[in-house]
Amino acid sequence: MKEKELNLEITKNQRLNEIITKLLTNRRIIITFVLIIVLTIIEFTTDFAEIMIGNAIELTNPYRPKSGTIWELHKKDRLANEQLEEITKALPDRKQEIPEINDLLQLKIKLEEQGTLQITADQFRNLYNQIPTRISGDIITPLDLLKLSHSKKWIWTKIVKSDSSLSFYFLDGDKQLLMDTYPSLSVLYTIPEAEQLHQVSLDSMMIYKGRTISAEMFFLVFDDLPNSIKLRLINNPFQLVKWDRNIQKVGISRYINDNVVTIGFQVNEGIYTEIYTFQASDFAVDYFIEKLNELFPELSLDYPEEKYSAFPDYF
Amino acid sequence: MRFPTISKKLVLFLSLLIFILVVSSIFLIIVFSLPQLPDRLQDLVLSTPTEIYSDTGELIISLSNREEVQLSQISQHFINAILAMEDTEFYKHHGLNKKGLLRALFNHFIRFRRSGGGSGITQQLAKNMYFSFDRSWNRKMKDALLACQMERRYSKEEILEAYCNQIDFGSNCFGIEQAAQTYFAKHADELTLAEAAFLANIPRWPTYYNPYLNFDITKQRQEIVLKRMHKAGFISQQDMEQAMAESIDLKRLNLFWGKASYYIDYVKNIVEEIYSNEVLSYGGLKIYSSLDTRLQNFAQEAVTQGLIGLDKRLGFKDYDLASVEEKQLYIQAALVAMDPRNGKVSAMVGGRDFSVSPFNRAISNNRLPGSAFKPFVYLAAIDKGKYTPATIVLDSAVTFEFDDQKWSPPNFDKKFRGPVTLKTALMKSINVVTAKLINDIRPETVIDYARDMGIKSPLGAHLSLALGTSSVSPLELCDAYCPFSNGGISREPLILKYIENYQGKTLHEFSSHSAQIVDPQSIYLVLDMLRAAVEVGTAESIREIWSFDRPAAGKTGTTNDARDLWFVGFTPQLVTAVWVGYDDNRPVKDKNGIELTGAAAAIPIWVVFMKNALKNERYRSFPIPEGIIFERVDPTTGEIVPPSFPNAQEVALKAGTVLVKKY
Repeated sequence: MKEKELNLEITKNQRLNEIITKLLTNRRIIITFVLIIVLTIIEFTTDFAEIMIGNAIELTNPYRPKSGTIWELHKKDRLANEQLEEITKALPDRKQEIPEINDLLQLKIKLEEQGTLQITADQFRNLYNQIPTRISGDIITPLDLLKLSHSKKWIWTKIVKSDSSLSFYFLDGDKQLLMDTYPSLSVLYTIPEAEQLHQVSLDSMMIYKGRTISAEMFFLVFDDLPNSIKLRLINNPFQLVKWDRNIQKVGISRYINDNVVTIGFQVNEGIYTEIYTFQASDFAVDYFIEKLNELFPELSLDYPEEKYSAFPDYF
Repeated sequence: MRFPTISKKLVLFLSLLIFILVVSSIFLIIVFSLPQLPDRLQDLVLSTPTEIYSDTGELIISLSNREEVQLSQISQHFINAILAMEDTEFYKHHGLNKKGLLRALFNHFIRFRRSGGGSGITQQLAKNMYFSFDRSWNRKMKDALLACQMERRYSKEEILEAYCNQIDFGSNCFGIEQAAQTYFAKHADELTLAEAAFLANIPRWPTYYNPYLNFDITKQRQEIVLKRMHKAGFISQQDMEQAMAESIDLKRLNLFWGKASYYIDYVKNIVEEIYSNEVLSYGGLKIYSSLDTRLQNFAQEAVTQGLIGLDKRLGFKDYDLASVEEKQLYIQAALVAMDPRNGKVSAMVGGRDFSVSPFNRAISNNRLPGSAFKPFVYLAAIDKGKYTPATIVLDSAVTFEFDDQKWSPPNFDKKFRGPVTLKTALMKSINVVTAKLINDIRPETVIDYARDMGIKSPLGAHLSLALGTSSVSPLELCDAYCPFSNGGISREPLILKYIENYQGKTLHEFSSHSAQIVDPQSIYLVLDMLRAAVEVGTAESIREIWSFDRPAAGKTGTTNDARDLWFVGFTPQLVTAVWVGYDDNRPVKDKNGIELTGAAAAIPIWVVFMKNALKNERYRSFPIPEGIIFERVDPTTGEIVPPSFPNAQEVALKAGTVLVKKY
């Protein structure tokens, strides 16, 4: 048995030797083997296969699909941009949204037409100053308006009129609410009628009755007074500058109260008039009346008297 | 005999030809199935990511979680670390890292070890950009082919830059810039050697090597990166040792990260509804929300701490130690805070853990409000002019009959108090009196008022509506309480302020629609009653236990079997609704089986939040509208009593209300 196995082993070895000899003597196989080795070395040193494959694939690039994760994202990206472009195109021109409103009548007409208006804070202030104080206070109290102005955030005012209500929204630069008020709708209808409602005049007031002069007369005398007297008459001349041409009449109270005499100014505030007062020194008022009577003797205005009368010194 | 010789050669030739044709065809099929490459890699970079901002303009989140930077804006340490870890031959090869490939093949087939690292940087880029993340040989071959083309088409710098900008660093951030910001609160060009090496290993297994989860493991891996960098000649031995010894301090650039997940999710839903998912995700929008980051932080903290306290009381183990399945069974809470002066939703928490349960309980209208609904009944009754806070109603057993059914509303404490004023009834949350009121003024009237106040969910027109048996969401309940704090002016909840496109043009503006929906005097009368609930009523623990000393009002709510626990409370500056309950609607009972109430479960969260939220605010009182008078009445007869009368109750009344005098 052992001999047989030994023979079989020898036969196997002989066959293997034969194959190896055959391989080593076969030129083709050797050349192929060498070629593979050489190609492998060349590939490892020069990467020629990758370069060639890369070049070949590059040629096909335009004909290949735009598929895969990143192209899918790219498509969504483009889709998003297209949609955004449409949204942006459909946006109204915001510059045209601020209406030209300079007076209360325009405000009322626009509100009737559109229901909603958005105006700047300055526009609102301008309109607010045109409204008689007892009506404007219903829209927003002057103290709240001052607070808003001082916050420096107030940029817009949105006014909304519905069938039953009127809403004022005071907004910041981001159109966010800072304050809102809900005055009665009747405010809107009162505003244009304010002219009739609020035509106050100095002549109708007891303390100024027969003691009013025109603005021209007042300034003819006032402008020639010494500055020290002027300031005792009008402690805030800036206010006069502001009113200047809108002053219709000036009244001098007939009474002295604690060495103070009230001077009233009837000012044209657009569609209505308003009365503003200054507390002047009795000495300055006497001086003013003296100069006034000199310039316009026909007036012969009396000097104010100490207050003994039952008339209250207010209006 | 010649024929067979020729035939053999021919067969050989033909076989070879067919083989070449087959191989070429397969090659061409594969090649033509490859995705096209763009002219420049940057061409495929997504446009500016959509960003969400807070009320004060802070960036809360960038939705793409990806921020592209140029190669020059990336720390050289990081580039070296990536090259050392992923592809030391990167600048030498033309697409394939053959050494790495052979090493991987050797490990796979000879050592039977699964090891990565066979793919070079270009191949990884190809895979990440174009292919799914399956591990098939087919995909690997396509990666390799595309990598060869990429090397032909793009420069090494372009490839490296694109690679650094898109790799996954875990924590939902992609690209080195986001990673540097997320883990070290700095930019990619500011990374130190130690930090760069720390980050360079994370992309290998982003979930496992997440520093916020497995810091120690990631620190160990940093040392491997440093060793490889040293071996590759990028750093000296000394640099390596120094970097290894350096401590790593994790710090987020966006400290707000993860604290407003429910709010952000809600914002995304709204914007997606307005535009589309594509516009939201890829449109580069700038979304300005009403979220107040300071308040949101406090809200999140209050809910988290409140629920930890409840967990102990209810007998749950530490939430962090529970499995994901167990966490689903834990108690939940929601909180919404609104500024009643402008309608802004300042804070919103929709649950205890967005990552476990993103369901937003703050906006889902599936919970019963219980007694928190009662103020609308009292408002309707008073505004209709039929009742005053001093009106006496008998708290006694009563049975209502309707639609052939009988209903006997029980009181929470099972007691009857006899004659009580309306004010007592609301502050003590007496069910019987409330049921009598709705029976008198009819459910339809109450529904009208609730709608005006801001409740949008369907409300059933039946008597039990008075006890809050129609489901609502915390958001709408919070909104519906705003007019109480605000003189009767309702506000639409304002989540978004405006949306801009990437060029800064405003696409959409939002405003809180407001209206004076109820007479300020009627509102004040109910407000006064709700203040009493906080002072001496069902919510008195706010004062007694929690020492919240600001002017406040509110109402608790506890539904049958304590399934929903509420407190909706407010100051002149802030209205906050808190809900507590289980997702599966089971009763909330403590370890001893005793049912919890809104006062016990929701008030602690409310107080902790409100104390922090209002810390820097002035104390403000609720303004009293014109035409309101205060009288002292006998709480059992409703008659005006002299100042010396014991236990008198002060009630707010509309001027002109005639009450009988007892003296």
